[in-house]
Amino acid sequence: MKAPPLEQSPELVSLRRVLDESAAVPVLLFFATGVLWLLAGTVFGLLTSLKFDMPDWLAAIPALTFGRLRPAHLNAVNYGWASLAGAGCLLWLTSRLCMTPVRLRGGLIASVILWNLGVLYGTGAVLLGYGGSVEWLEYPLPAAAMIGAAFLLFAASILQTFRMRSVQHLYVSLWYTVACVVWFPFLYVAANLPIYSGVVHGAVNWWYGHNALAVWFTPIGLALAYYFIPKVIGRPIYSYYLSLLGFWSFALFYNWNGIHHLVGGPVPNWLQTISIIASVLMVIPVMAVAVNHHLTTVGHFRHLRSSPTLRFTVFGAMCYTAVSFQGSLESLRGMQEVVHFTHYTVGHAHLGVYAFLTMILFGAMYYITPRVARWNWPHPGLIKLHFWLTAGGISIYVIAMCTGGILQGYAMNESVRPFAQVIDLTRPWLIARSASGILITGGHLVFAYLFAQMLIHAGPRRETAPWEEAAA
Amino acid sequence: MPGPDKPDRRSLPPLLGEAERQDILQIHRAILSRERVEPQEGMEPAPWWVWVVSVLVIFSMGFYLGRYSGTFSTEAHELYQKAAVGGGEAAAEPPPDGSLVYAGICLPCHQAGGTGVEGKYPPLAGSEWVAKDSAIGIRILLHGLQGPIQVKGKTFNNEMPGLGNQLSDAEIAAVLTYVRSNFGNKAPAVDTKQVAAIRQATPGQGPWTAQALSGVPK
Repeated sequence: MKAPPLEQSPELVSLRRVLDESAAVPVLLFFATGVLWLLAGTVFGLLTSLKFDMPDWLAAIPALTFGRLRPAHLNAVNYGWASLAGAGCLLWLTSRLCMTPVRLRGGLIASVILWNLGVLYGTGAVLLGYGGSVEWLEYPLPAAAMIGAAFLLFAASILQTFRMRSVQHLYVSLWYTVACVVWFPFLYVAANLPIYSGVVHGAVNWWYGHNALAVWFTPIGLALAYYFIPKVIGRPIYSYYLSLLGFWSFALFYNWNGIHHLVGGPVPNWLQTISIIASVLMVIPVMAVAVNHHLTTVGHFRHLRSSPTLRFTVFGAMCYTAVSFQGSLESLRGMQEVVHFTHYTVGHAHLGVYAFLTMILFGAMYYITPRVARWNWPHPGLIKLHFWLTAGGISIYVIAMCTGGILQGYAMNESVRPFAQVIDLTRPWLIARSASGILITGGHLVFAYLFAQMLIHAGPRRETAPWEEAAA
Repeated sequence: MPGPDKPDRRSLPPLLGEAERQDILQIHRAILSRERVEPQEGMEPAPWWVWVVSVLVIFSMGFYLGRYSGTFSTEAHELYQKAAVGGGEAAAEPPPDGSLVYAGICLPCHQAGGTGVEGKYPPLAGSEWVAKDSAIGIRILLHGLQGPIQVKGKTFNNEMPGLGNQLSDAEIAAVLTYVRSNFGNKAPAVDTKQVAAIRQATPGQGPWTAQALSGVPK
């Protein structure tokens, strides 16, 4: 099929310029600080991984022990990198889809500062031993309060921009965007209230942990995929009806999923059952999104060669399908008996937050950054290198962790097998994980270098899109 | 006020010369010109099988809910659920698994292969004490053992706690049977009734010594 023509009337170009200029400063601030947290979080993650093979290395420094590095990694990449970069992308997207400049920009600057201070304070507290013991909520309350307040400022800007929109029809990406900025503050405040104890605290922990993905990270990824796939290809998204089915079943089912983390635990049986059911019902929204994206892209896969945005986005969207079906299966009791408390779960988590979300964020940033930084990506070859290092790295990561996790799960179920033997069994897979971590770290260094050049307009002054084709 | 014909000067770095500003604006215009139409909704119908799969998944999860709801009781956890579903009040407790008792209680000292630890914990594999009458093993498990003991030609002097308060008669029988038929041992199985009888016959008994055990009635 022939690609549709570019839309380049002077009025349209001028309108885009006004919108992107309004978004430029806040978006670049969100991106730049996000990339810094990506680098910090990557270092924490790599050190955590190396600890499995070299447990005595750096063990004399309390801040660099496993129990502190791991939560530092989790929080830095989620509240630092993915949240900040995601917020930047959503700002730009909302302005473009509402055809109106970004509003409340002063509040956004305050939001970036507050958000980063919160993540800095929280991560520092975790490393110095003042972190909490509830996974995903390790930050002390003052840090959480700063992040919560920053999020409210960001949400206010999105909602005000949305209110001032000059379009009639709301495109599907906007549904996810507006929904997530309303959902997430409720979730974050409710989970951080210091009122829970005992079994209820465990249930709230995973209600929050999984809902952070359900009402914040996944909507970011889906909003961006729904936007950039048709935008780069230049044809409408396949089916409005599939979009509707996907969004409403997503809103209905996903927020019940969290308790599947406690299958087999001391939580009432019906609560586990309902979470398992909701996890399996996620097949419906995931299928709707996957079919919708696939039928939009089919016949246009050659754009993957010419557009870095589309290549990263399609990789991420395919991983969304994979991680969701894996999650539906993983929640079932029979599967839990084997893979619970194994490396399999770690593989699943990275397939979600990295292979799906982070890859889509990279794709979106390759599109947005030139429009807000007003500079072309200086080194097309390095973008390819970035893609192959990260895509290759995370593929090795997920395969190693999931295979090793299943073997580990079966071995641990053999009750008379000595535990040390089970650890030896997982060793080659953990070494493969550390190797993949080195590839991923390399990819991030390449990306950070490219992004820094965009910020200061360094590198060769290029006239065109990074790869062959015009519309990247 | 910036508008379509007037670029927002504030969004440009302040120290640039006029030529550089114009250059950046030109690059930006070029970037913004290589875009396709904003995404629209297509109106194709969803493939029929999407609806079929959706309905099937919802139905099967309805059955799953009926099967595993645990009657929506706050008491029902995983083990309770299995017993209740199996056969109502008639569902008897399954017999204890000796290998699980061994892994949970004996393994840290006597090791996975029943080898023990030289100079510390006596071996069970090929031990003459394991092969002796089951009345001896039952007493050691119920009340413990202390002081010197000869096993396979080596002397050990340590203390094993009694497990009578911790393990049921059935569990003691199961783990003894497991030890007596594994690690190369080939002694006959132990009956729960014998454990119960010895427990009744020796109330308030403290830890045994090797010497006291050799005088035990069969």
